[in-house]
Amino acid sequence: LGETRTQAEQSDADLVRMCLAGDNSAYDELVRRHQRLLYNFCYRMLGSGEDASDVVQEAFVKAYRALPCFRLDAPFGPWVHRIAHNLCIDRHRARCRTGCLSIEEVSETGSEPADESASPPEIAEMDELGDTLRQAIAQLPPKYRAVVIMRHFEGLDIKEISATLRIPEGTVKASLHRARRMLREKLAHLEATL
Amino acid sequence: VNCGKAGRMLQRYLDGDLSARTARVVEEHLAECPKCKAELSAYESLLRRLNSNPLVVLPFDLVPAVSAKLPEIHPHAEHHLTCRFARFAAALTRWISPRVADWSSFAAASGCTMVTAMVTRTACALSGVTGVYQGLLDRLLSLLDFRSWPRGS
Repeated sequence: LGETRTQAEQSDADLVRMCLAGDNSAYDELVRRHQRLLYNFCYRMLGSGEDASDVVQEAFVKAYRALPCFRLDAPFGPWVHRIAHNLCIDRHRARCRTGCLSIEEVSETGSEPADESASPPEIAEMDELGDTLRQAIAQLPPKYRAVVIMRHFEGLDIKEISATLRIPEGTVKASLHRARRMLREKLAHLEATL
Repeated sequence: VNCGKAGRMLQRYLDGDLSARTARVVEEHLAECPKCKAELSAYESLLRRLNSNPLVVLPFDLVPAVSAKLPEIHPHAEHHLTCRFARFAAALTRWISPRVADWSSFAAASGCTMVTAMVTRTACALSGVTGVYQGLLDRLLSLLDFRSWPRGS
């Protein structure tokens, strides 16, 4: 237990160093720290819990393999985030190629487990509001969807999104504005059909 | 400022991304234009909805699943050379980028250098200079051939 507490107090860079020195339990701690945000991102990107957990696992394995490439002066979170983002885009392309369920269809059938901290009436209200919002977000093109998720669900600022996705800040802002405009139109359309 | 221009600036206004002077101009327009004011309210409502969405709960702890999938070999051994090459390429790109103002000229210059190298090589081959180089190359290879190295006593 003492060792776990020690690891929990370590910075991401220290854990990466420990992992590169052969201590795999340090990588478990990194997964523990970043799994929730990463799962949320993939869930919003793909619209399916099963796909999201697959992609998150794949992203962590890929990150582990590429760990020697990781620059220790850079934050670990955005790096693994970018790997997950690329995997989501790949999965989305594969879905389009195979003509399976589109993201919109998956999103319509999937149910989102609400936050445990919310009370039942709050959950019901959030579900109702969240459903149309989720559908509208799912209908955005992936590059806009990623920016909206990072900005509004994860609370990243423009600079952080730019660093994570490796695109200029101006492009992030333009994508965000376009995405919000599209969201407004889609929400108005979805709510009119309800 | 007209409605079209103000409409394009609304999101930047809400993000606090406008200069104080421009923000004041937008506010003056909003005070007298109900259509743009309604559009601003719609964006505000959208931002409230987006920002109040809770995080999704993880269905299960992913640590054991990831741990079971980690490759047996140590990551350091697997990707060492690739990473060194990737780092070298990244450093080279970082060094070149600020020095190249115009990428199309850079590409054209690289193309010209390649063409010059190919022409020189062909010219050498036609004029028999290759033989000299071939001789030098053979000497070099023989130096590298460990079988020709003197054996220890």
